Amino acid sequence: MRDQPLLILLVEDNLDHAELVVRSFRDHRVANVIRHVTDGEMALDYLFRRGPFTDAVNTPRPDLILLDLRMPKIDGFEVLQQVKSSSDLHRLPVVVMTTSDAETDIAKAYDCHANSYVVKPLDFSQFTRLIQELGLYWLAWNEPPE
Amino acid sequence: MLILAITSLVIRVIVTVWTCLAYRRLRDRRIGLAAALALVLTFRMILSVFWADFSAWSKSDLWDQLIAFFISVLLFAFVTVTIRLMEEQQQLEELQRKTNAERESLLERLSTLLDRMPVGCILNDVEFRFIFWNPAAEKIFGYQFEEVRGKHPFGMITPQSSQPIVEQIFRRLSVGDMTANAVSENITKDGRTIVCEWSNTPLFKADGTFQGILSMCQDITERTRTENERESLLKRLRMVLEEMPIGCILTDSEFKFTFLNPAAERTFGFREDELLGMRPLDTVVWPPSRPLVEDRFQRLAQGDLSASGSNENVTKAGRVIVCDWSNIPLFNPDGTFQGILCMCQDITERRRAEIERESLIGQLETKNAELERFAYTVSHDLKGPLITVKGFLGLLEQDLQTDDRAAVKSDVDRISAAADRMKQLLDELLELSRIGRIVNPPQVFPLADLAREAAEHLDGQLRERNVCVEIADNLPTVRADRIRLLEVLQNLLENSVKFLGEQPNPRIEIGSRTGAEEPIYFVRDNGIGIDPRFHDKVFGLFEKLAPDSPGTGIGLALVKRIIEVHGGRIWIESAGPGTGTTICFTLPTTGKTDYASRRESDS
Repeated sequence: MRDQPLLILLVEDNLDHAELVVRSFRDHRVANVIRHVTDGEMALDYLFRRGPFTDAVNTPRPDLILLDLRMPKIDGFEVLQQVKSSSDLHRLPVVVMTTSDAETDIAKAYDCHANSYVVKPLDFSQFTRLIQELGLYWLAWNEPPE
Repeated sequence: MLILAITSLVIRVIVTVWTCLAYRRLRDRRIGLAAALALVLTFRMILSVFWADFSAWSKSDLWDQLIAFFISVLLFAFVTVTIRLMEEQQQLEELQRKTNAERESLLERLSTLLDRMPVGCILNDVEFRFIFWNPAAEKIFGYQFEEVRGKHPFGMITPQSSQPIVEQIFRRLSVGDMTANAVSENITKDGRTIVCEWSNTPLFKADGTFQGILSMCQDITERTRTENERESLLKRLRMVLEEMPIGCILTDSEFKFTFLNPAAERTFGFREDELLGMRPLDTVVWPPSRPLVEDRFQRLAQGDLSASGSNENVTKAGRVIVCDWSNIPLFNPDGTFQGILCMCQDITERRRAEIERESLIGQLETKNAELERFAYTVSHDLKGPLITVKGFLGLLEQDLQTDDRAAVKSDVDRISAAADRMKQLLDELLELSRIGRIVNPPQVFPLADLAREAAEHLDGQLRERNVCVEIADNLPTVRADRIRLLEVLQNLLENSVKFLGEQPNPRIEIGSRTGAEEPIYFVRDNGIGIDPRFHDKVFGLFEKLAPDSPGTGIGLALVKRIIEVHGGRIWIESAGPGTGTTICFTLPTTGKTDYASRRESDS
């Protein structure tokens, strides 16, 4: 069990969806800090500490990445591939959270070594439950790498 | 006197001996009689010689002696003549006998011949009635000779149908025509109709009068039937070869044409007589295919039954076609190579159809993939706003309970905005699918006017951002769907406005320049530019370069579709961030475009 707040990097281009995620985490009082970036390029800049994110202090390594797939410029797959092929970052747990339930997307995500794949539910109560359980699992149960 | 007496005696003795011998040889009664006479007379003389004294006998009366001598000579003469006559007669009889024997033997041979010959031999008299008829004729017609002797053929063996012909033949024969032969129908005793071949010869007496006819006849019914069957079979075979739609070709052992059927003639455009004796390799094989065909020929000569396949051929007119060949080598009974039998079919059309089919299948697969991607994209991009709606409805519920007015308002706004986006998405999708069937007829209009109109529609946005729009004065007149092209320009302008970024002098330029083959029109801005990596992505369905930017991202996809349907091309020129963006497109003015042809097919 962790006693520190979970730092989640939320990579999501849809501002509405991001709001839903943040609110859900807050409502369920899962201890967490959420950093939100709106496209793949920003996500990579943050993770590799480049561009506007060169300050290491202000860009702590996240404990979990929630990653959307379809984003403008650099998409989720690209981010996933880069993270998982980086010697520094490949152990970071990445949970793909997307609207797509297509077999091809799921297969591709796992091929790129995603740690998990969840489909955003249409039903709001389901949505909040997902967030709650997600938080519980990764905060409470999962052993993070060093 | 003595000499006379002795001579008489000697003569008589000789005569006696002679006649006895003759009698022994000839055995004739008359000679026997003569022998007897001679014997008697000789004995008498001998007796008289023995009875009387010889001297006394010799001294007898001269007159007696003379008479005795005379009788002897007479006897001698008589016997000689008689014997001679006898001998001649015997010879004659011998000759006669021999002649008779020969004649007998000849007659017998003739008789055997007539009896045994398998050909019917018939003799008719001057009135054409039967006077002879051999066993073969009996066998053929079923009548014994006795039944037909003296009767006329009509009513016996000549049916009604043949009578006119036979009548004519009889007439010709009677005037000496030696060639009056015929094949005609006859009927047998038991009523069967048979076909006979008749060879007729007229017979004349020494003085030239017509005597009758000699006919030889043969039953050729069987032969005729077989011939008819063969004829009919040949006709069928010929018909098959003539009518079959597949080319049939024969060559000799040197691979020269020996036969072509009509289908082969049609395929290659040659007549058979033009190709006989020529080599296929020199005439109907497409030169680049010669080695392949040459090899096949060699293999066929070795007995390889699998040397078949397709290859290019060439017609008399020089057209290159593709034919499928089935080749069989032919061998003589002694095993030597005789030539080849080839069946050929022109499969040029079939090949073309196959190629087209492959191409169509490819196109279909592409279209299918496009459709799948489209459906996937649509479903995904509709889900987004839907999740927003459902999500914020949930949050709304919570906020209502906590009575957080501000939050409630915000939630409601977001829900409404999401719903609007969905509507817009659906509208643009509909637009995109409709673009495949342009309904508007092409018009000719100045592009400058259209540009001005588009700028007017965006007046609000432009003024808000203080954008300066320049429309070049060298814009030509174009021929296109005016309404659609207006959409294009509006979209491009909107896009440019979106990506102007923060800057003091936002400028959009609409102009044209001369390209390699045709004029190129462009909408250029000095905005934030587009990374070259994303130049293609930009036109993708629902691709947006900035999240949550106004619009659903269909805009450029729609623009691309419209331009392409007109037969033009569209692309982006931008070096990257900070260098502005130029979107270029062409509108072909000549030749058939998808648009023009679609228009024609619609009307």
